[in-house]
Amino acid sequence: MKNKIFACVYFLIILFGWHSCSSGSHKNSSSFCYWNTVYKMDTALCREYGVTHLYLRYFDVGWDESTLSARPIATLSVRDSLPGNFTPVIYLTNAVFEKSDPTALDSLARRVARRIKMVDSDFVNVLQSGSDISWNDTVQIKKLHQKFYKKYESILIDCDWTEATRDKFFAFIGFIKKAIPDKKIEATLRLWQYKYRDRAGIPPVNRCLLMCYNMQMANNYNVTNSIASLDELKKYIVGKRYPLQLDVALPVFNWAVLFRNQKSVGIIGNADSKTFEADIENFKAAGLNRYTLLNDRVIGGFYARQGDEVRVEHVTPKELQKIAAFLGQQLGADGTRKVAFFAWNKSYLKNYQTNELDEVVTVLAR
Amino acid sequence: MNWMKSLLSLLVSLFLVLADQANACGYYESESDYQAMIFRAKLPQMDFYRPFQYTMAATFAGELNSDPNETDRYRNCQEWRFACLNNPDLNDIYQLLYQTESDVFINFIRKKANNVLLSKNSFVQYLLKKTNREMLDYVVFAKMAEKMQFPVDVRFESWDNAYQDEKPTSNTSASSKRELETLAKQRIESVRSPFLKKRYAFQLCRLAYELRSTPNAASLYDKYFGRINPNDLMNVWACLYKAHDLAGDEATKAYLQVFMNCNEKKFRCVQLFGDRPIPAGLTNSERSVYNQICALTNPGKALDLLKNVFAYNPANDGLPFLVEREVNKLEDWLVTPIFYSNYAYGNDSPFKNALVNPWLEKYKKENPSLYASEDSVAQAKKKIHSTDMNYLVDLKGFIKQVFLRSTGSERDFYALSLAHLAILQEEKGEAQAYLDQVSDKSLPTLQFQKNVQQLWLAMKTEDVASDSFKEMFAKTMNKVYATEIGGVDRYKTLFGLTLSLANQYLGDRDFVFGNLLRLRANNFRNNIFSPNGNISEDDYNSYFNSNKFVYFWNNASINDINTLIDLSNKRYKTAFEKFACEKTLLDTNWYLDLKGTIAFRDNDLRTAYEAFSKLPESFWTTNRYFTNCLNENPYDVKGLKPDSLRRFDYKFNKITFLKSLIDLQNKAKHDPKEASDCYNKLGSAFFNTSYWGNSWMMCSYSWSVNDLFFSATSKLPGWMQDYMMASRAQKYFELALKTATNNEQKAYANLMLHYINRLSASYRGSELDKLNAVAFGKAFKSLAFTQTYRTYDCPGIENFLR
Repeated sequence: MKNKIFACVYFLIILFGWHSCSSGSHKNSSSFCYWNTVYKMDTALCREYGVTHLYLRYFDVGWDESTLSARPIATLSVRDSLPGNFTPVIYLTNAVFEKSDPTALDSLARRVARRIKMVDSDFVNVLQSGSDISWNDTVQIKKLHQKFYKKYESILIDCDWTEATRDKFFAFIGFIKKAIPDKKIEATLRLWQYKYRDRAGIPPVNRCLLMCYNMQMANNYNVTNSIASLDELKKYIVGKRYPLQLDVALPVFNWAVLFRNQKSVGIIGNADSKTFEADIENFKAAGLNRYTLLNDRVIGGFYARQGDEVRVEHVTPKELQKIAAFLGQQLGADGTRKVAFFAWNKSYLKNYQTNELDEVVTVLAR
Repeated sequence: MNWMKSLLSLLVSLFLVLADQANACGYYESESDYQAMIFRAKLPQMDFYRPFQYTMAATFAGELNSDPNETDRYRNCQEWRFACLNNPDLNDIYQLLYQTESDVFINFIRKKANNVLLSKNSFVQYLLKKTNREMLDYVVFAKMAEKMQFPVDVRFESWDNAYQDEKPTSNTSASSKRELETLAKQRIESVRSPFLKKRYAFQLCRLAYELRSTPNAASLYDKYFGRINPNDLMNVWACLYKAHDLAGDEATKAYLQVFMNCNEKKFRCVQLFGDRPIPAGLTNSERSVYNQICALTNPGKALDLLKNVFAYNPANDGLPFLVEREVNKLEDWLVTPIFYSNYAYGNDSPFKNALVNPWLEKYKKENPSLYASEDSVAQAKKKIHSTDMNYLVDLKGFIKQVFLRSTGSERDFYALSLAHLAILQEEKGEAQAYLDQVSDKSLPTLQFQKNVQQLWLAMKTEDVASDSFKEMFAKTMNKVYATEIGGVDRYKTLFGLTLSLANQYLGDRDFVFGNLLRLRANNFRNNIFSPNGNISEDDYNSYFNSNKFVYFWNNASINDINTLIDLSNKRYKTAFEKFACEKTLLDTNWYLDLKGTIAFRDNDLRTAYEAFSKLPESFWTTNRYFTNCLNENPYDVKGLKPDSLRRFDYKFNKITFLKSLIDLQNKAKHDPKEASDCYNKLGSAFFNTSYWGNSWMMCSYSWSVNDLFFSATSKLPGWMQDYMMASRAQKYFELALKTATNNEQKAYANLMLHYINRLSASYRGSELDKLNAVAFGKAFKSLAFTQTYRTYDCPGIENFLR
């Protein structure tokens, strides 16, 4: 009898363990941030990088001075179906909380909830288009809605809240929880919010996504890599462990900053060193990932002049792994931690092998 | 070497993180804020290109609406009026189509909701006639479709389609659109009117694109419209959705047609155009527009494109805008660097040449090849200037060709362009000759530009200090200011002009009008960002007000401040003075304080005392600016006692303080017994008015930990060398030591001389300062039996000596 009980308990443990590894999204898994305004997935690339989860930007909310109200911006245009699990992300500018009346936050939360459903409907619409279900078959459409709704279990609220806006932002999270009671609410966490938690406060959520990029001002001429560096990160990840579970977002994007007379002119998206190194007629290496222009030319939407300087920035796989090792050590083990790479873009990913990103995930998510 | 680079990067970044705090108040200026843009001549058709106004930093600069006057919408209304046999009033059609909320009209029709305005609308009355049922059905349909579109505002969207309706409307976006699509398919077959068929066809193309239906928008366009018809607005608008659905050359051709034949969709076409190769088989007009679109998004030299635009179609009405863009680019390349290098905030800061970064200096020495020398930077700038001037000549040559073939307003426009380029070349006679060719009856916007250029030319040809120039300047500026030319153009021009004049005054060392005009230029620039003058008083009081005296603090003399005070008190100002003083002057009390501060830092205590004496005592005790910074006893040396013992409740009064300093100086001179004590007190007070003390605000209006990075002391002005190294205090302590009659006096003087030299050593890393600090420290230790030693001895001194 005793043996049977042990066997049952053992079986239940195995079953529970299996379940938690296969169905929940909070297992050691890599994820990408999809921040575009149009959703169209390169499924081959998705398979290549073994993407199991996406942080998917649904829409932004900004403050409209003309109507003196918070309004949505750049809602996702859905052109494709989702391959796996995901977390919808809603970005609210800090101005929304600076300017909003506290009494309006309740209705703002309800509006955000409704708009999330609208984007959900667009995904369902794509599902229906690719199936035999007629658009006026309400029963089947409802089933599609239900099926789709199960694809995500949490919603990420992204805001660079400040000491001055934290109370309103936290109140808003409370309202969002009420408006969407069947989903978990998570929040993004900037590095300064991690370090100065006494001023920034701890958001009333269970999990946060710690955003480990854009660590310094890109327009600063003397910075080596404004996107991320271990040295810079070490300045922020100090003190006691954060009291909430933390997922981590790491940068895999690249850009270049154009300088004239050591003053920033602008950012050239998706630029890499190889391009400048190869173009010896127009660029001369100037050390520290920098290149000097030898001729006037239009580059990345800017008219760059002879003598201007381009600083190319990206985080190498090695640096990324060092950052991950440091974070893993500092944040502690968390078997449910998600590691997300910012951002999903074919041209960014060419700089990283799948195994290099896997290593980062392994180090950080164990 | 890599570790060296990493270390260097870390140190440099650490340094800059700190250095950046200087701007941490949230305000900093970028080069684009100062971008010169004085040429803003406008022709009516240039409104359609407003989003593509030149900027160095982005493709689109203006309002993102390429049809601000709604020409396309009025064209649509005209088509409706024609279809209604000219019966309804055009304004009534406009009101219903574009000014009536969808729900309001739908409820009015379906629920017979009461609406007086709509009942009286002649278009509505026409639609309600039984014979016009099909038209009414279409308008209701269009209003339903409108409900599902995002508003015209390209940035903000609506929360849903019913602001007031709190009920969920999540299904509207997809299924309701599908319902509409089905309805449109039925109606397009059943309606008899070709006019309505076209409108349903347009709606179908749009819905097919949005719903990604089959057949797609391109197929539907081909089915219902066949080919482009420039005279049919629905056809042109629908062609945009066709373009979206196509790729390659076919899409390019479709975008070109839409761009050519309507205005509202011009912006969207350019936005989606990208880097498309030119398709084969285009007509000359299409080739011209292709080059036009490429030029609109080119931030570099686009003259070759302009030549193509003109060669393929001399009548292309977009050419003047492209010419304006090229002139603006040249202004930016040639004039902006002058604005920027001479007039950026902080550029005349006394600190500007004294920045020292030892690691960077060392690294530069070790890696000379990685850093361009100042000579090579200057050479590159010279070369850029020369290529830009050559480009200007080429551009001028092209505009002359176009000018000769132009007539009317366009001719005036090109004459202004040529005059402007001639001014940039300093060809004054030629500039005047072209300006004379601009008709006095030209458009107001061109008259505005003519006045602006006349002023700019006068600045370069006349004596700007003469009364005749000043009178003419003020009169013309007021005329220019009063001309409404739309958008922020006016302020951008006024900013550039005023800054140019400020430039000349500052160059002639007239710091009163130079600074006032620079402040006036700042005000115009603020209006660029806030065209309605919507800057709160708080903003003025914080950043702007401080600049109102910081500019003077940086470069003005006591005489300049006297002139400023006279000007401030002058009851009847000339027109020029009024212009320079508007929103730039402060209350006289501020100038008296500034005068006293400048005199104090220059060691003219009498003048300082006289200036401060004219101020009410409450000036320093009620103004937060002072109470936050001048709140400690100036005779208690900062740093000698632990910070925990510092008290910040001292009622600081500059008059009393100055008087006590003058009294101490007199006493020291006339009473040898008291001399050493007096000198020690004077030393303590002057130490506190230095960078290191608790009353630094006696000399400066700002203090930052970053000031320490500016440690090339020989490059600082004399008074600032005193301020940063407490030299005045040092002299008094040396006198105290020399005249000391007891060991307590000696101990205190030695202690302070040790302290000052130690601080100086830490600031500029000088060996001599270090040796002095050691010597005075040892002397202090030799007086260990004194009360002073027992009071002020600390482990820091011992550690330093070790």
